[in-house]
Amino acid sequence: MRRIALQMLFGDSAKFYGILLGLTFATLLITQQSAIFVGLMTRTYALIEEIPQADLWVADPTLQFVDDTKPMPVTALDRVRSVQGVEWASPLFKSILVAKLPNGGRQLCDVVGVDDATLIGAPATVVEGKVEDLRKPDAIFVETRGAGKQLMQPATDDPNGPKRPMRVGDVLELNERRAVVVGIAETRPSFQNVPTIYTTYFRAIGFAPANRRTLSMVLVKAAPGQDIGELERRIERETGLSAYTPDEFSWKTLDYWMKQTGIPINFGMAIALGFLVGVAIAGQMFYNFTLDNLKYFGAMKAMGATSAQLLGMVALQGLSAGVLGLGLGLGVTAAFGLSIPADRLAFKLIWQLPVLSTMAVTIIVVGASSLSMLKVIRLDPKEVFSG
Amino acid sequence: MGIKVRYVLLPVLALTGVGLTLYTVKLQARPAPAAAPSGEPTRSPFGNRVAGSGLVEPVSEIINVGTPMSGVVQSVNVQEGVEVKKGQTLFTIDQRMLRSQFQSAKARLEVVRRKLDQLKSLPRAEDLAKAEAVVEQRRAALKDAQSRLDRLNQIADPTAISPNERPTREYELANAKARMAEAEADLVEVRKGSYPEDLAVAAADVQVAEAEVKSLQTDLDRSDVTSPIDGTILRVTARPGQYAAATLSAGEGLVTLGQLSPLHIRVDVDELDAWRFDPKGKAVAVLRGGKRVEHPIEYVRTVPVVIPKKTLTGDNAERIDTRVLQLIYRFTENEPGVLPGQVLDVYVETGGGGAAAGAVSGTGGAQGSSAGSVGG
Repeated sequence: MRRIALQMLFGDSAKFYGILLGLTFATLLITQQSAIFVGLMTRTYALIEEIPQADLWVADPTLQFVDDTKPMPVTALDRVRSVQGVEWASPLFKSILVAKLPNGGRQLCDVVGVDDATLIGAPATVVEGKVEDLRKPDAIFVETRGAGKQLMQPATDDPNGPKRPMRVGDVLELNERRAVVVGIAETRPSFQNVPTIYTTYFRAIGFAPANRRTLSMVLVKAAPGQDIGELERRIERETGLSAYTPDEFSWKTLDYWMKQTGIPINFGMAIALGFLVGVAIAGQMFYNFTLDNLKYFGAMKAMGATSAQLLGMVALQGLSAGVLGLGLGLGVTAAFGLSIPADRLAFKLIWQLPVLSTMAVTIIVVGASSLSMLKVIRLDPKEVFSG
Repeated sequence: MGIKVRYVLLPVLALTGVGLTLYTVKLQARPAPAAAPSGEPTRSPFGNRVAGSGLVEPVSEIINVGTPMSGVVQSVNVQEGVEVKKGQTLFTIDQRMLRSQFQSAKARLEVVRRKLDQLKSLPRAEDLAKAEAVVEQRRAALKDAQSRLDRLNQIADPTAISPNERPTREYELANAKARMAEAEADLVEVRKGSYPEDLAVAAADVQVAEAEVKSLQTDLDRSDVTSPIDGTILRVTARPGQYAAATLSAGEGLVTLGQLSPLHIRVDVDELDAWRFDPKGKAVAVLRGGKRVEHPIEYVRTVPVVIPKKTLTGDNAERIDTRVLQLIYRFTENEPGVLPGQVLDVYVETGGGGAAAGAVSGTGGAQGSSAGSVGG
């Protein structure tokens, strides 16, 4: 019986490939679009993931997301250090500044200032140079993406000639202050797609325009054995500032972008379209396929096959087409994601996404099969022969 | 062929696709690598504590020595790092003009002194002898006039003499008397010497000249700028030939010095945390970065006024929103590697816990020690 079912399915090439293509395409559309959506949204809190040492992030209570700047007075650092259960606390500066490039061009840059003494918050994956080089005079780090894109410099004397990425030794100006590139780091791409410049906290203050409040965030490590949630509440109670675990801070940031931008609606529509395509093409074709094969089902029924056996056949056909389509669709999505460099396209496949597309394909297949099954059950063998 | 594709290749492809997906999921779920800190973050050895940033300073605080008078620096007599005694010359402002003024003032003093001596030396013996001789001469002339009148009076016959003779002799006598009186008065004047008023004027002139010499001497002394304390030279910005103005603003000095033993540490504590501070609490200062060194420190005093936190932004319209309580601590011994001007993190143990436990001071110690073991 199973063999006959599969032969029925695979035998009709045109219909089979139609069904397969529909399901593959639906899976691809749903998975890929949602992966891009997730990738894009993950970028909004790239900085939080970039600094995994921190157990808690302390910021001004009115801060809306991680890239928001609501600086605090510098004594906030000492106030956080005063809280019981804080192992260490480290300052972090973050602000968008205009950099004047060696070729005279100007570029907005995200400047991150890390603690001078410990360099906590400095990039982990250093491609060129050493993190300790940040202690040299006027030293900054740039990241590979910015260096190879917005910060590109002419490779020859001809300003319109070929360009090369920014490299160690290049000198920029940040607010009329000299800044020397001493290293290149690889970091996660950020949502705002501006080059990130790393330097030390006090140098960053020197680069920034005069401001009495300079402390953007405080990174906190909890003492060993300290309950993080309890520490979080204690910091908030004693300092009046807001403390977040990396997860909470990420969600807060994510939430801000979800509510403030049209991104969720755009991607939601694309994903819904994928689902509709699946239903319209694959589901409808599968139903048609059953209708076309109705005469064979009728013959088998006349030869004594039970309804249960026939339903099993339909289920097997649906399952085979679904699994194949899903597998192919996922494969194409993954290959697509792997083949495009991370800085070109935000693509992040989290485990929930294959589950989501599996569910979507299941709904399509189960829906189409159910309709087909209904037809098979109601089938009167007489009709087949009388026609 | 076609069947083979459908029965074998497609399932294999689909399986590969699922595998690829799982691989991608696993690959992208990798956590970010954390950069190893290049220096140890400072940690508090206490559970309940107040933290602040401390600036190391000499026990005398930093003394910026300026100059009391403007002028060109003539010589600098100290180098950075050397120890000086109180009163030792640090640098000298050009003295040539002062010296010449001093010389001429001294000469003027000599002149007025001589004048006074001259007045005091009167009367001179020669003048006296001369005046006495004049008196003797006049006395002789008086006697002569008297005797000539007496001789005329002895002639009894009135016709023997002309009627003019007698009055002439009488006038001669009166004249001689008056000349005698004049000579005697001259003698008295010479014998008396100088007038006391003249002497007083001359003595006052001497005082004025003396005062001028003294004032120039003081200026000369002041142009040698000396150390106000026993201490160590921290910075020298004075250079020979450089113009030094007497109107230096605070924070600038031609020579900066201070007494380095023991070193003090000025701790800024946010005003919002100030109420939790306990002078009796144990305190440590922790060196930032690199090798973490804890220095035990002792409470000295609290600056009794809450002041704006010093953050130099260069904006002259800035408003202050951060105020700090300043606490002064002392290093119990001089620590190697700690220098004035350095910033350290300071932790002071407090009795109670946070806002809630702060009020209960009785049980504070026990809470502190139990929390300390958690923190350590």
